[in-house]
Amino acid sequence: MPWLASGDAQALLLTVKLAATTTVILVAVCLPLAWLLVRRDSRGRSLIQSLVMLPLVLPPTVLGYYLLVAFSPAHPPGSLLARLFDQQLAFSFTGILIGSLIYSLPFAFRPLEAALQQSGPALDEAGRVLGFPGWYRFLFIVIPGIRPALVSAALLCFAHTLGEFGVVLMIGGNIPGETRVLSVALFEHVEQMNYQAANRLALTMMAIAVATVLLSQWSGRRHDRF
Amino acid sequence: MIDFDVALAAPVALRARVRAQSGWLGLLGHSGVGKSTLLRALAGLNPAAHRLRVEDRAVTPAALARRVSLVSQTPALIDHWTVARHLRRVARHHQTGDLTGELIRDLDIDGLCPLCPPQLSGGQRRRVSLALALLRRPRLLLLDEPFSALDDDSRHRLYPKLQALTRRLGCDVVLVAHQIEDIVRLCDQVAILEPGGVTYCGALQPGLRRYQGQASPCSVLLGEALSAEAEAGLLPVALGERTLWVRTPRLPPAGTPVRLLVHADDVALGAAELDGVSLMNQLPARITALTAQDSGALVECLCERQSIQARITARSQARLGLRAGSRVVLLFKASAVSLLAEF
Repeated sequence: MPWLASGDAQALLLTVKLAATTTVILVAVCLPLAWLLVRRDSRGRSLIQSLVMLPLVLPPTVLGYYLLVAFSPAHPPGSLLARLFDQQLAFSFTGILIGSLIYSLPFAFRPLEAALQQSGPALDEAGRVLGFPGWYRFLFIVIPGIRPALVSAALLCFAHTLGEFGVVLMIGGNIPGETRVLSVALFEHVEQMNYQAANRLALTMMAIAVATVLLSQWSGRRHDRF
Repeated sequence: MIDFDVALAAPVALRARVRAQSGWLGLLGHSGVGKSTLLRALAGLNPAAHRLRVEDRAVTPAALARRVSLVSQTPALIDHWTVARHLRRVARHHQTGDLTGELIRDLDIDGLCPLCPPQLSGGQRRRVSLALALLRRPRLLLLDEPFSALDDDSRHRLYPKLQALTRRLGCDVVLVAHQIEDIVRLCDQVAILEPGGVTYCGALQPGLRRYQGQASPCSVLLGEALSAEAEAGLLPVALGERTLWVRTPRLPPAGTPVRLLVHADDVALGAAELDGVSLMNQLPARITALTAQDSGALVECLCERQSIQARITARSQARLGLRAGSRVVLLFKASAVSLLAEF
């Protein structure tokens, strides 16, 4: 008998896909955004920082509710987004991906901004003194220079998306293969009092979380040795 | 030609207009007057610079950064790159791979190539930074206290190599150095930076005389090494018709033009030459100017068409009855003269 039933294995794959896609997009967006905010001391900086941090203090269900309303084709943002993505966003993978991106944004942004604030200007100046152009300094000097923070931000973002529940449930519901992620499947097993399947899912999530933490620590130690 | 005009508002408000011949220019000034800030602006690193003109043309900091190399007091290197990677990437980016081997050899950094900056000592960091700055083949090289972490032996080995390298690469140099000897050793001209801006830019000797920041004024003499009478550690130098004795471990070949430094506090004045004394140097001179100072006078003398300064007490001045035009004898030991350069 396999460790996870086929429906749960499907949920695991979907969750990993959701977490990996969220992580890649967030890291790719947050790196230049954080660098821009660190380098330019503009008045809009604190406003952008506050907006980015909002999901940290907002209950996930509240965020999910507003996104659900926004995704509704009855309202302008929903109809516009539906046209843009060429599909209905509520109760779809793209919908829960957008929800995850917003919900996990501070977990990717904060470590990157802190690391760039601390090491970025010195690395950038070192590159400038050596005569490298701005894009080169950012890609080949600043980003490799904050590698531990980058790995930490990616792992934190990945782990956080894995355990996401409220936002996903509000936006995506529980559609197998489309929006049924691990946390929703676990909730369903508990609701049906299928504790054996629930235990297996919970242990799987726990194992992934522990592996993530260990990976983060190993990456930090490797950088220190270097 | 070194020709720039920089105006800064922060962190120090200053306006620096400098026009000097190609070569090495020493930048003199008190601590905190803005020497390092000026160099940073010239390297395109100070966004507060609201006026940047080079050779009478307005330039952007980015354009300056492409043509100017800076070696700062705390050289900026990339901690996660090895020295070899620094050299490789800078050479590739600036297409100067042909220079790498020569710079590695001349600046003696071959053994440092596998190391990362945190593993380097202060002196090693400076040498690596110098190599990287030159590897960019800059039009202007800015050196901010580049020798402060080096011992005397390393400095003396480095000086001629640096001079030869900058000459070969055709780059001009602006040097800020805490030790006046470094300026005298390497530069033919100086600029003096005072609060607000540059107040002098011109030849070395008048510049040094004018520089008020020196606790101990000094004179630079140009002579020619003689070897006929060279003794262990003592070098005779022709100063016009006269011979000057210099205590130095380095004995350049006869006929080599040399540059010497004598501090005003080490020079005494006499009414006539003395017999029976151990002093090696007694030079007849004429007083051209006397400047009253805190507790004495700075006496400007002319000897063999060269200017030598002596600082004496007010009491000695009164006792000898010194005034402009008086004939005196300059008295100083061979060890009071530093041999700075052979060129």
